[in-house]
Amino acid sequence: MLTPIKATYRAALIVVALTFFLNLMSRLGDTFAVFLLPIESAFKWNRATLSTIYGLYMGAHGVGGILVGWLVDRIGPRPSMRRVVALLRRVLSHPICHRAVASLCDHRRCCRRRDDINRNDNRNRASRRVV
Amino acid sequence: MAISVTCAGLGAGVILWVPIAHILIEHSGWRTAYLWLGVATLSLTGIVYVLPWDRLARPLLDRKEQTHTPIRLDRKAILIIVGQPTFWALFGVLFLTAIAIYAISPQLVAYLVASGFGKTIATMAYSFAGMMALFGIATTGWLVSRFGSRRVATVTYAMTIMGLLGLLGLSLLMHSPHLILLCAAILPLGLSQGSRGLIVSTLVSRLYPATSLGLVHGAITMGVGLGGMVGASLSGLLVDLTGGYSASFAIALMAGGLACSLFWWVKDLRTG
Repeated sequence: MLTPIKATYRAALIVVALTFFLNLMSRLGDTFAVFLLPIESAFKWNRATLSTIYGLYMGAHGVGGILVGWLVDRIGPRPSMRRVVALLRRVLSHPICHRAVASLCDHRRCCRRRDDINRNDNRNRASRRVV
Repeated sequence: MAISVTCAGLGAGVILWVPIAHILIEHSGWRTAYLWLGVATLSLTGIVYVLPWDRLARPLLDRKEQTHTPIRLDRKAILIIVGQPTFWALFGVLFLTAIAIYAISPQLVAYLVASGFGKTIATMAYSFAGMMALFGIATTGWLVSRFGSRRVATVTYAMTIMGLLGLLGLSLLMHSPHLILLCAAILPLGLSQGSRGLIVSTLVSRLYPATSLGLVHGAITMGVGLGGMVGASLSGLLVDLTGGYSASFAIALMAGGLACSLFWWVKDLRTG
């Protein structure tokens, strides 16, 4: 049986460890710097467009900060999480998200199809030239 | 100390995810890499949802109390907090620091590649900065309690400015990629990253009552988001307009200097 003080310390330790883990996961957004050049060359977008997209992510992060702070003060951490997860579920079920995931999954198939079309076009052009 | 450990997770995240993203991009393309990182984020949602936050967050002594007592902040209290110059100074510190960091950070890999470094070295330098942030954040908490927030903040801003100048020197002074200068620039920049957030967090917990901590913290953290938005968008625009990165570095240097000056001008930040 843990003494109340030890139990409190253990709870605090667990919270610190979990927050460390959450902060660790939150840095996924920083991989944008690595993705910048490949995305730039894939879409031929200029740097301002790409940076603005990242800027919007940062802006949403900022607005989310105050909303979540207010929510945690008002209804507590777990109900806040429940609401945020519900919001996330709603956002992820939006057709735009489906299209984004589908485009990421299907890109190889799309590229292959595009290659096939190009190959067929070239073949047709060549045969027309022969005729 | 506890805040330092949790903030160190931010540095550890960069060490973990940036090389993973780079390896995934090299092996299977950016789309597949993006998809897998998205799946990782989504799985986090599930983990966060099932965690017993209430049980963990509340000291076990108070377990008998099952319902959360909402903290009601009346409009007057909010207006008083928002009306204080200290609040706006803390907001300004994070806003300007975020401009300084995010004007460079998202473009860093691209900048290093443009300066003649390979993609792998550029990515390694970027994650190395994250690793240094881990040490920087971990020691900042202890340094603030020993030397005060103003001195520590000034040193960290000086380190950021040194790092930025070193990085700028890579393209302005060197005609070929210089690995030693890159390390010399990344080291102070990385060590200082994230430490200002910690200093501000400590100041907020000292200056504001527990009843308003969530709101004040959220409002001040909004400065990071807005600063990041302004910094990242502005630097991208400047890269397109000028065809180089010098203007972005100039913005970052100015923002860093201004943020540091707030620790000298505002009384609560000076004495906190």
